[in-house]
Amino acid sequence: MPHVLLIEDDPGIRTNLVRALGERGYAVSTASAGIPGLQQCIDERPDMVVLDLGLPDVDGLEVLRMLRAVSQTPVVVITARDGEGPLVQALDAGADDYVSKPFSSTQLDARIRAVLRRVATGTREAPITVGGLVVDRRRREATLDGRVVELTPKLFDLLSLLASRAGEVVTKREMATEVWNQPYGGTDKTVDVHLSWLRRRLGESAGEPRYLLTARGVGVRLVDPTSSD
Amino acid sequence: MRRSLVLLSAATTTSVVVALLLALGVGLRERGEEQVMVRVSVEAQNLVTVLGDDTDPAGRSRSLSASEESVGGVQALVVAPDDAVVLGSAALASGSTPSSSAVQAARERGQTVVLEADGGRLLAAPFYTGAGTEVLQVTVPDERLHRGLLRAYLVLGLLGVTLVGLATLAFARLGGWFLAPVRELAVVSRALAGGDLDRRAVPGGPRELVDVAEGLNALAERIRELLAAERERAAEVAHRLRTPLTAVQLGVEGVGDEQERQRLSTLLANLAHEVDAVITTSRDPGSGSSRVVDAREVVAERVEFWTALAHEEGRQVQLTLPHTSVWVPLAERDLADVLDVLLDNVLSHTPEGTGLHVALSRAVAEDDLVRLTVADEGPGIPSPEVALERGVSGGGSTGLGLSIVHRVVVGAGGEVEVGSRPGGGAMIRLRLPPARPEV
Repeated sequence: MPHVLLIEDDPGIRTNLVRALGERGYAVSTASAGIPGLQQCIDERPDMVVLDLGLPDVDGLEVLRMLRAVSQTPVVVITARDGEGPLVQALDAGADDYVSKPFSSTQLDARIRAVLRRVATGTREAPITVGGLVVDRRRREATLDGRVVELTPKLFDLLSLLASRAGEVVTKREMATEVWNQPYGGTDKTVDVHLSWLRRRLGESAGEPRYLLTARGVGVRLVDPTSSD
Repeated sequence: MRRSLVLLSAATTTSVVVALLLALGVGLRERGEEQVMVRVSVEAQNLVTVLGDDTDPAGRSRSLSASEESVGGVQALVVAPDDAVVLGSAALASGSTPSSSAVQAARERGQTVVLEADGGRLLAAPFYTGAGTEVLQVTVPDERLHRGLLRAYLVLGLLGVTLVGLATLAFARLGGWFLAPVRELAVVSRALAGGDLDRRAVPGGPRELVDVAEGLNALAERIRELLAAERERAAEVAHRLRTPLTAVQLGVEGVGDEQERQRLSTLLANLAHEVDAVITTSRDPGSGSSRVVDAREVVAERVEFWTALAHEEGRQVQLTLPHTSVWVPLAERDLADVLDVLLDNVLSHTPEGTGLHVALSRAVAEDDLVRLTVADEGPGIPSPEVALERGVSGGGSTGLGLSIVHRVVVGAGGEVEVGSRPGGGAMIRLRLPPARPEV
């Protein structure tokens, strides 16, 4: 049972996350401010820290830097900020991944699992590589056979999600939740139209897929077209 | 304003010049008369000296004529002690008569007298001869008194007109110097009032107007700062809302009833969208002042975006656009949202392979509204209510259903019509008021 330390000052989020993550099989301890959180991280040695960047005592980024000075525990940050600036800052300061408010527990769970998986396979720092496709989340850049793929923020997030779970079928519901933070009713085409553009950007089509395989009626699977399986 | 300034200056200068010229005219007239009378009296003194000594009538007559000629325009005659006219036949011939009152006064006082007379002045100078006191009477008619005055008046008048003209011209120039910066200030004030907070006045004209222009610029700068601070505050508040929103969203996940959870999730998604919209509108520097967009550009861009999927699904997309820009009073993001909902609806609710039509037309004379139609060749819809329903609850599960289309379009003063396409299929037509293009 992975041990998650949640450093979050909002009691509403804290209570609900303890319940939701508990239901998903995590052991959760909490801290409501940065300094006690740091102390707990040192004392409890959790498998994962979920850190809110807006804390009452110390700025979350500062907490992250202090944490990195003493520990290599993986960190997923929670941010209420827009834009890529704060995200890049957080990633540069040593965060492994992030979720933006408002988010669902499914989203956070997916991030935590992906980070834990990368830690387990020792590929935590490296960009995700699938065949000729390289997705660098830290630089928010994707390259295909060495050439940069022009992507809008949403398309990058979508590709990043598919790449983090390469080989797995990712359902449209998951994509709607993770990328758009919207409940998916099963009929709307926002996800489809973005997948369609992602195919175009990757130089393929639904008729002649290479990386993006459609699991009809279910979702999409990002695969390495050069691999035999 | 410039006209009134010029009129005012013309009126003021004219009254001053007229008053000045009147005084000058009167003075000139008096001075002219005085000069003539001095001349006449000097000549008369000389003449009486000659006449007193000369006894020869012919010689005296010559002296008289010479004096008359020397002054010019006067008539002289000499009255003997017995009141008989002894000299001055020419004067008598031209209508001059001896004035008994003047002669009497001169004799009594024993010195030269000057009297006002009908049509001129009389000078009477007494002198002694062997026969007694004779009197030289010189008649100076008005015509002689005022000779050359008309010309002087004309010159003065001309001078007056020139002065008024020059003053008016100067004021017109001065007015321009004054008014150009005032006009600039007016234009900039209007631009600022219209929301163009980047406009600044170019200071010019008199010192006071330069001050006003600088004041206006400082005011504009301050308004912009305050507005930016206010927007930043709004964005900050909206940001903070994301934290409780997250708590609620996580709480909703714990709701046991699946249907209720779905309903609450949709409501929350809408709320999150609104919070995002507040942040975007507050942060986007353009959207505060410019809620105007070229619909032609946005329609083309969004249709192209959705065509990627439509073609994958074997759909024909027919897009009809006017040749020139069509401006509507919407923020670009709002119009893009509206199109995304409408196109998403068609693709979500019609079988693959079903064609779709998007048409934008500029305002027509009928009601002066811009029309945007999104129609499909699908099976159609039994009633508009169903179409609205499907947009709101079922399919529009991104949280951006027809309710958002309705809110955006009606908010901009337009209307949404849900109906059927003539050849079958659903049709949604938006009517929007036209907007003035952004400069």
